[in-house]
Amino acid sequence: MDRNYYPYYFTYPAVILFLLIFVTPTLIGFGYAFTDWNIYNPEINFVGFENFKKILDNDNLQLCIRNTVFFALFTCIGRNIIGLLLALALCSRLKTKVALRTIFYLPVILSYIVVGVVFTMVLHPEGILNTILSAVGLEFMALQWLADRNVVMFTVSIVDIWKGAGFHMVIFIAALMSIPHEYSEASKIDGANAVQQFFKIKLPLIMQSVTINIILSLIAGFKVFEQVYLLTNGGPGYASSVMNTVVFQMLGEGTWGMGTAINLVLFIVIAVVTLIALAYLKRKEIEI
Amino acid sequence: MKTRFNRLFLPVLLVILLAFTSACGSAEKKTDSSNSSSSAETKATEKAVEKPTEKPAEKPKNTTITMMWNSTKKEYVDYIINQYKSKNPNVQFDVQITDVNQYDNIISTRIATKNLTDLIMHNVVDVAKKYAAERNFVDLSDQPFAQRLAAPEFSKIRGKIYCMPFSASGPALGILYNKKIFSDLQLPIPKNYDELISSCEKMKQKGITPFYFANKAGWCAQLWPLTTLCEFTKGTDIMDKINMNKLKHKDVPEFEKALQMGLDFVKKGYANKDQMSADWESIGPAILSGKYGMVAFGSFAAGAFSANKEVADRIAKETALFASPGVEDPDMAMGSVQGLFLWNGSKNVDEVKKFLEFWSQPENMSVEYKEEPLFSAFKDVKVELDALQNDVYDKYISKGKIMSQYNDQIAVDVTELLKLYQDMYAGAKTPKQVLEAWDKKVEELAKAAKLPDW
Repeated sequence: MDRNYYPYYFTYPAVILFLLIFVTPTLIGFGYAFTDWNIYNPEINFVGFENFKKILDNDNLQLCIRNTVFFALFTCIGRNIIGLLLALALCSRLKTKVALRTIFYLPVILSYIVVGVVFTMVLHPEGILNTILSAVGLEFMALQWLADRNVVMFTVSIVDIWKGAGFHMVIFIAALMSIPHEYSEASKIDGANAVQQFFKIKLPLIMQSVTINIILSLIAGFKVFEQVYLLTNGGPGYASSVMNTVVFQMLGEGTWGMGTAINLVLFIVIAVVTLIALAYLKRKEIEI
Repeated sequence: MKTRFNRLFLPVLLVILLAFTSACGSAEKKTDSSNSSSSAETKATEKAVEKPTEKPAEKPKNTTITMMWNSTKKEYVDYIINQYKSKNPNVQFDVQITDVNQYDNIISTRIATKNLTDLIMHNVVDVAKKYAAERNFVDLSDQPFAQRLAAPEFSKIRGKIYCMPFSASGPALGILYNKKIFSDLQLPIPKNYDELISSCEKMKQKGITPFYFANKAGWCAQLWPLTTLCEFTKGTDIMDKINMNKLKHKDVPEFEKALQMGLDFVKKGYANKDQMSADWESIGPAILSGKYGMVAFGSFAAGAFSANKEVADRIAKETALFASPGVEDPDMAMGSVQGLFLWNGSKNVDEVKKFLEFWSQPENMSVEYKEEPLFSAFKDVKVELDALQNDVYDKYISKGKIMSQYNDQIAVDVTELLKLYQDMYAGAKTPKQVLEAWDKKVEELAKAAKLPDW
């Protein structure tokens, strides 16, 4: 009995540090969400759910919540589908697959600052993208990618998908390579085509990696900040603002209690969505 | 029993071990320092025995003065710092440059975490509204430089001076125009909105885009409303009523009219198509290119582009400023004074005060004004203004045709208003919706600041 618990004792210092440095400040932060903490007054007063009522009444904040949900779902789907397609292609008999895996993974290691600066120039109304589109006779597609409020969230999402798909590709490649060859060979003998092989054999067997990828991309999507901040700073106006950029704006404004309330809402949304997704996807997993 | 004891004993032992090792580290340091101090004492005793009459001179304490500046930092800052360092070798400087669009966010964060730099560069009105000057900054009213100020009232916050100002008053704000385009097309300086539209139409017919907007930068998007709203409040008690919660912006028809005027420049095709993606750095080259006739800007135009001397010189010579013609024969709107504020959490207050006094001396201010001409802050410092500023001084300032900008008249922080203007220019909000949203924000901020009557 002793020896079974012995390894846990070595986790105590890390757990204590984690509780002190991370959990405690987070819980204290949640407490501030119910106050009128701001830069103007040294007193902090409890205001109950006042901050949350303001979030529901404010059109701009509601737009930020919608943008955040849109970004999370769009990039989750985009990253995982493109990552999976790349993984399937790069697990086939391709001579250059090692080089291609490196190339597709490179955007993942770039810093967001570099990506933001580069894409701000590429997506400028007179940038490379619009110049190429005009040159090939597609002037109607030369949009104001970062300044048109109707397309800006799509643009930011696509930049994020470009940057993040390689990460999910790597996880899918590892999962695909762990499937025994005998299953594919047996299914071929039974007359299954490539699509049937994928949906009936490969996909069920890689569901664990699908779960990990979806959960990670959802969490990263809801926590979006750098991509929006560096490309558009939430503009034009509030068109591409997301919850974390608004929290940052409120930090600058000095309305810290309100900013903390928005953070608490984000935390609850992330927790609920990921728990639901996790519960659903876990049921789909099977073990070899 | 033994098992339960072991389960409790081992983790407690681990925590004690961790605490012990850290205590040992500091004990060793203490031992080291006490050893070194005892050997130092021995040496000091020996020296005292050798020369009992001589006292060793006190070495001035090594100090580092930290300073925050936004991305418009100029060369004169380095010059003045180097001059101070040459006279005070024990003082070092750490100048931290922050992007102008994030400057306020960073300052707020650092005030909240009590980690602000010794000095920040900012404007008087924003510090008064956003940063609770009395709580966060040192009162400099008793400093020698404060007695030499040419226009101390513009630098005061509730009767006290919290900064060493760079100028007597803020910059003039209005419509910067390309003089050659106006003279070639024989356009008069517009004295009202109809004349302005007429000039726009003539420029458009000649293939010149009348207005250049750089609305990606929130502080540029506000310039037309900033200079026009105050034209409708001059000589009235509208802003007093708004600040006392007796009137709302949406109930003042002139405010909606002023915003609509600005929006009409975009809707009627008088503005550049990329107005939502153009940033402020593109304004200088744009107004000099001959493709654009006007831009809402200020008398700081040449100084804003001083990093490129050629552009700055050309702006000073080839452009001029007229007051935004939202009303008949308008006055020029004036911005807020900028200066250096001393954080009251600084550990080097005395040294920083000495540095500010040094900066304010005529030989140093004249270097600043040579690079960035402004209306002199001090009675004993003369400034050679550039052609653009001289023109503004002759036509407006010397005749008293000036008024304070809208942002100085409203009692709360206007950060949200800049985003609302961008929403308006992007087509997401009508002028009325901007005013309604702004009224809600004013109420929220006024209540947070516990302003009277809210």
